[in-house]
Amino acid sequence: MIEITARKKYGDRVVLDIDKLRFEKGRVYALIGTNGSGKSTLLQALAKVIDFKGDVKGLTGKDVAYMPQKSFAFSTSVLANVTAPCPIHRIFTERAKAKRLLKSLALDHLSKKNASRLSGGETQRVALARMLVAPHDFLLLDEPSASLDVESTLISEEVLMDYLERTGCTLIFATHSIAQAKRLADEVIVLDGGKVVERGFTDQVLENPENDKTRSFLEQFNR
Amino acid sequence: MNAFEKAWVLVTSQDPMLQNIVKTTLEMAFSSSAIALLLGVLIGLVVAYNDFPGKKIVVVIMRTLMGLPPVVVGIVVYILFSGTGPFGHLKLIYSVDLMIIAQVVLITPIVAGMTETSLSPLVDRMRPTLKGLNLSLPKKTALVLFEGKYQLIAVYLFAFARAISEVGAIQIVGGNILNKTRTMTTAIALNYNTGDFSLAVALGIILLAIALGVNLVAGLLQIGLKKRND
Ligand SMILES: Nc1ncnc2c1ncn2[C@@H]1O[C@H](COP(=O)(O)OP(=O)(O)OP(=O)(O)O)[C@@H](O)[C@H]1O
Ligand SMILES: [Mg+2]
Repeated sequence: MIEITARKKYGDRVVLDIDKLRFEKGRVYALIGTNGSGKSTLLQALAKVIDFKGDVKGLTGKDVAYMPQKSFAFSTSVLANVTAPCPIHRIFTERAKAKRLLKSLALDHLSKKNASRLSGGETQRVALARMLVAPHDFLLLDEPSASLDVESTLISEEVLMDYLERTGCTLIFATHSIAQAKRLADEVIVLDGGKVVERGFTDQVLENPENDKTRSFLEQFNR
Repeated sequence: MNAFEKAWVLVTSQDPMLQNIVKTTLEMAFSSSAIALLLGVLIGLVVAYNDFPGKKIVVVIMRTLMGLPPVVVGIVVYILFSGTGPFGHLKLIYSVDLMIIAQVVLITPIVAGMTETSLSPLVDRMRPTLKGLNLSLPKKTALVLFEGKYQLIAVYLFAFARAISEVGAIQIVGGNILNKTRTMTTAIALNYNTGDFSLAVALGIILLAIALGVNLVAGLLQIGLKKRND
């Protein structure tokens, strides 16, 4: 289990204010909320890619992998991008793994292509493959299918769930898709103005929200 | 004879004095620009990648040091390495090695400043991804250097241009000794002082030709890298 307490300010504005938010091992959490509600900032804090006041407990010795909202594709081949996190002495065995992964994400036809020349959706799928090539304890994905078409989204989700099953990894992801939260998440965390306004089991939060902010946020999807 | 003819005669005559000057020049310019590149890129990268208190001040200092006057560097290095200086026992005064040291002092801040300025936007875009992947330090460094290869080639060319064209510092610490520490620029300055303008210009033409050669190689390298990239 991990527990995060975090406060982040940009200038005078508090953009994240979280107190003792807990995540259980092996579960899947969806972060939802409007633009600027703090989803990315929370993931950045968990991944420790930004400085903030507070701390994350329970991460010592744990392997945390984080995929930013805008992933950077290295200007090497797609295959080399996917194996980038692998230790050099194991690169040959990891290559085979990476190839299988690319195939399962329907990206194998691109494996020799320069990754910096890919389309937005292709880049995002390569970035996902790069996350999944090694086992992790925690996977933090910031809108992993924001630029994907419907079919690619479903394929990615399938590969992701398969990965979680095999590794027992905890997944925390941000999304603007309520349907995706329903498909993947055990629990949903609703953010607003940098604060957690509601959290609970996915069905409960999405079907019977208790908080007014959650309710008005969810109502937009029915319009 | 005009300067071009003189340059041509000089080059084709296989004059041992000229050969020695060119050799010293190239040794000094390649060694010092390579060492400065290594140190400067390292410093520039550390500053660009990391966020730390006082970063802005460090950047300002770095950019100020880019304008170090060569003569001042020459004098300071001279004092440090002269017989009575703290490094006097190394007996490096009036040697090519000391000229290289002075040039490294002069050029490293330029490389560091240019690296920081030119790679910062790239590093900013790469940082979240690099951190999120938990890459080792050597791997992160290699990836950033690889992505910034075009900028780094440009930085190197500038460093080399500075190294080969500089005269103030190496004149002082090298002493412009014939067949030992005389380079093309110090020879040009000497010939100008003794009134032999055409020899000075001839040497200048040869120097430019060398610089052109280095730039052509770098240009081809860039084109080659671009081709491979598609
Ligand atoms: N580097 C930064 N400098 C200044 N303000 C920032 C910075 N990063 C984020 N913010 C601000 O922090 C707030 C939260 O941003 P964050 O990226 O966490 O939102 P989000 O919930 O991920 O939104 P989106 O759905 O648009 O991705 C926003 O108002 C944003 O403007
Ligand atoms: Mg975001």
